[in-house]
Amino acid sequence: MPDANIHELSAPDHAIDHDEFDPLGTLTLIVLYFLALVLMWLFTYFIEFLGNDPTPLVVI
Amino acid sequence: MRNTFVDAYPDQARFIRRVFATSFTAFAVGAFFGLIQALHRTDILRVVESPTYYTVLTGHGVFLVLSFTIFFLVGVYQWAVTDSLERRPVDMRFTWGWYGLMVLGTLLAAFAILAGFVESIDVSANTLFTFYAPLQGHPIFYVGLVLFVVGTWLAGADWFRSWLAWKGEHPGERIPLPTFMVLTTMIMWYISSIGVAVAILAFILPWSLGIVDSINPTLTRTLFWYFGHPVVYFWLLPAYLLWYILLPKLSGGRLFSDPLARVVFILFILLSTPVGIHHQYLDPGIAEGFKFIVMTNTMFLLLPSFLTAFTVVASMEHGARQRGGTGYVGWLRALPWREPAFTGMALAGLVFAFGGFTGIVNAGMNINYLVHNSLWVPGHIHTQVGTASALTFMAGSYWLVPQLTGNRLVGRSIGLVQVLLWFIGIVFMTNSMYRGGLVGIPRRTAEPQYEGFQYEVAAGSVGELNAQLAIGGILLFISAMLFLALMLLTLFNRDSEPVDNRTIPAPLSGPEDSPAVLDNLKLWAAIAAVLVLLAYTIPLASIVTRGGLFGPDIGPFPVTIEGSGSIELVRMGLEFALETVSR
Repeated sequence: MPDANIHELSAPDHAIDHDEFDPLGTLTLIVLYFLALVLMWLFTYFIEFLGNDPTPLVVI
Repeated sequence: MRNTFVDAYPDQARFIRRVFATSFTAFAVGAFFGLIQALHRTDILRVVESPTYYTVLTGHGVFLVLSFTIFFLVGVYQWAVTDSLERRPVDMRFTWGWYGLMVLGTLLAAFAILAGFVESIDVSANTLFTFYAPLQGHPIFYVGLVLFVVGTWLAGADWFRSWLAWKGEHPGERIPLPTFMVLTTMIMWYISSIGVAVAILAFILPWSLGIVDSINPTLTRTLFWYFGHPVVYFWLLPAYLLWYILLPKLSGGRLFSDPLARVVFILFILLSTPVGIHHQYLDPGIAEGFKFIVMTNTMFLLLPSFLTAFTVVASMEHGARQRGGTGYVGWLRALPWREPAFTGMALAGLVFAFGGFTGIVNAGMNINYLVHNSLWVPGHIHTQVGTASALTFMAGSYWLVPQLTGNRLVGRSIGLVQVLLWFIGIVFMTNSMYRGGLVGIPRRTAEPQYEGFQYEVAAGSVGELNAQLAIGGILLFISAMLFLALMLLTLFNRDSEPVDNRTIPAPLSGPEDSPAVLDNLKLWAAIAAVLVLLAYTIPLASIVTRGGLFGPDIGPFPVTIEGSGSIELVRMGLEFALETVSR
């Protein structure tokens, strides 16, 4: 079956070697993920613990 | 000259095509069962009787998390070992042999499960994927599972054999990274699958055959989870392999660090197994102190995942910068988002990062009580194995299958739609599952609708949650079918050539930058064994001391459906409960 799909796969424009590469973009994403985690923990804490009454004490 | 995998190793490509075909067949059946469940439990469309739901559920679990994932694993690992050692297996007949054993095992287990649909055959195994006592299936089911697992052990032996042969020809060289990943995964698998082998061979199979009358449920559950947590890494590590080996190339870059990748896989050998009890936080009969130790081990398991997030994203960034990307976040635009192989893996990684957070919730002893056995847990499973692994496998196939067939991928843009559809479907479905779990909707329940009781949904309603679950399930099913159609068309897309060759660019930081001790597999296996002994000896001893090896006289609860469906099942359940209490 013909496929009009004649792209090149991810050909790099120029080579960057180990010493030239500082993954600052990765650092940015990790900081964002960390902030998201902290916010989710805070959210969980407020909704699930502060939002609910203590476990009822059942005396039989 | 064309240089694809099939050009270099035609017989290996043929073998892996066969393995993938098996995997994808299981995927098709399992996905269809998933659709039935999504519509059934939300009460939108019930095409089966509710007791039959559990047959469907067992099939969904077993076909997807054992057959689809593990057949895909052995296919990818066969590719990885062949391509990175640049050699064929020592004896190809042995390779076909373990594949045949895995297929035989799958067919037997599948027969036992599917026979549950046919009343005239007195065989069933509605035990769910987590086949604990007292749920009992037909012996054929367990025999099938054993053969399947033994098949995977032999597969591992085959790869070790290839590596030893390679080592003899290349003395003093570092293990190539893909092979290193395969060998470390298999060491983890050998250590962990002993648990399920003992559980089945020593206890559950003799019990289902009637050789022994009773079983110690806590013991077999503990042995199951001894295997049941590491098995999730058995699903995940082939996805990791694709992220480390393929994703940097697809991004247009090189792997950031080979040593970091090795450290990650070693951490999985060490930490995967001594954590299984975290699935049993609510089980009586295991001391809280051991649960606490296990929680600590589990939290350490976040480390390899965080290392992976860093290394893989940094490799993608390297690709983006080589393709002209700039800025702190602007480089993301330079990534090849039109490539389904890339986009699928990137989205799978994104979902994994979110699902990882929900895993921290599951692993925390206190907060686990909030979500235990609720719909939250299937939500977690579907973001992790159902997307991090499954979507990565599908995306990986968009690159691998052309390599294995020598044909160009058909419908690259439809492939893009397919991976996006999976992503959207999983967001809908798991959003509903997570939130439903938080308000207490149970998992593994055909009819989670109760009279005289209402779930308190903080925002939205149960109707809205159900709609999201059903829409998500439908989108996932459509996506799965699209994927399978594209694979089939690609298989027959002769007279075309793949757009890429088989070469994998060298890492930015290679193995020469790491200490040789990382390749000392015996050392890591020995440390892992010690950790397992520390985590499990005393809990297992105390379970056996208290309940006996064959338990405090727990009778079987055969999961067969007789008479008039649900009423009968409830009656049997009640009788069983009464019997247990009156003892």
